[in-house]
Amino acid sequence: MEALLLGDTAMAEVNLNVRDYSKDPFGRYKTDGEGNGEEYRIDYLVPELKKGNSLIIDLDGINDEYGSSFLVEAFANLIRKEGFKYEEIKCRVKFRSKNTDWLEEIDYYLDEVKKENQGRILLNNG
Amino acid sequence: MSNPEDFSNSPAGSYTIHSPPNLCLYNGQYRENTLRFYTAVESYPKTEHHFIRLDFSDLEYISAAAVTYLFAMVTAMQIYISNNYYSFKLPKNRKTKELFIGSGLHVALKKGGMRKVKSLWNESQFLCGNNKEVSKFVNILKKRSNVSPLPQNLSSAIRETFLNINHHAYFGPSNLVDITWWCYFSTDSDSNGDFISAVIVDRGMGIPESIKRAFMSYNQARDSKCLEYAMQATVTSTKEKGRGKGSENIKRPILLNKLATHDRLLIMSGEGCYRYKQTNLSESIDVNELKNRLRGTLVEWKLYY
Repeated sequence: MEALLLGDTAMAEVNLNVRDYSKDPFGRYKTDGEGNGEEYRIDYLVPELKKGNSLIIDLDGINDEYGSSFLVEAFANLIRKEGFKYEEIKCRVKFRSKNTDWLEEIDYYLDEVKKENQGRILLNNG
Repeated sequence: MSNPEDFSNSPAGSYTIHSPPNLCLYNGQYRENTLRFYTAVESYPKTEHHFIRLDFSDLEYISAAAVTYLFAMVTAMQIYISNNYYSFKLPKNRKTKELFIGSGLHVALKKGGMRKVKSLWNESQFLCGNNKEVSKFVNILKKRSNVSPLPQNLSSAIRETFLNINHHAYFGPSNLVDITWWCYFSTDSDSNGDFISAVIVDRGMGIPESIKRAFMSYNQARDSKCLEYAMQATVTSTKEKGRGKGSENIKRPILLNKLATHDRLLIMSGEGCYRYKQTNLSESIDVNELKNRLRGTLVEWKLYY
């Protein structure tokens, strides 16, 4: 963990491996069973982000492929459900993988929330 | 006039139902006969005092999709109604009989309740379970199919299909039910090359019903139209932002395997039938209305490798 002092707050760069959470990440909600995206977001990602830390998330080393449900619930819903801004997540959460499809898919889901929010702003202003 | 295939008022007792020579859900010529056979079987009262003998004497051919639905129909009744509900007469045709036994179908259909279902996990290509057994299933598919690696995105498509079953098919998460899905996978070859087929069946409300309940504009729509709508990206009966991506996941193995232009995705649900193919870099969608209803949903990927 690398620490960077900004004023009184220690901002750290935290490395997280999805494989340490589950070798079989699957499902959206806690009710879907072990390895779900909601639990990963709430119990692993949000506490670190609330401390002010930045995250480097390694997606590799799992037994299988990611489904959209896990990726959306764990990562894109940091914006939809936890109140983080798109720019903040793009800046503070980096993803690492040898599989570029996974990286592109996460980007796509994050961009989708950004567009939703832009649409909402336009509606509010309209 | 009552439906000739409706046996719902049959008194307690034993009944024999003859299968048609071809149990096949792909070919239009055989599909409706196959569905009529299922409808007839399912229409008998589901009590411990009814005994149904399925007579496969005349059976000559049975397709992967048809066999999976049969497996689902039979084991569901055995587990939830009575282990003795069904008995069977094997095909007379020697080759069909060998296939019936050699494929593991006979073991998968015979009596045995949950003990049989658990033992299938040890060796069979006929498997059933609930949402807790999804990762276990994908691992078995990888090992037992002898296709390594599996076609790209097949396992994530399967996972999302199971998740859809858990979220939608039975009116919400169904972790308390022992069996919510049934599956059969096989490998074979034809003039286009070697392929893997994976079929998943559930016995829930069906995709068209789910769409009709969620979208007023589809309330009166035909099942095939509901199915086509459900398979569009971002359509979700939950109407929650960020959902509705499962359908894209389900199509993706076909989309990504552009070299194999004979791959296809087949979905049948209610009275709707949806076929998705990728030919010459453009997608092809074919939807049909069935004359006979299929209970629940059937999804099959046929992927060349």
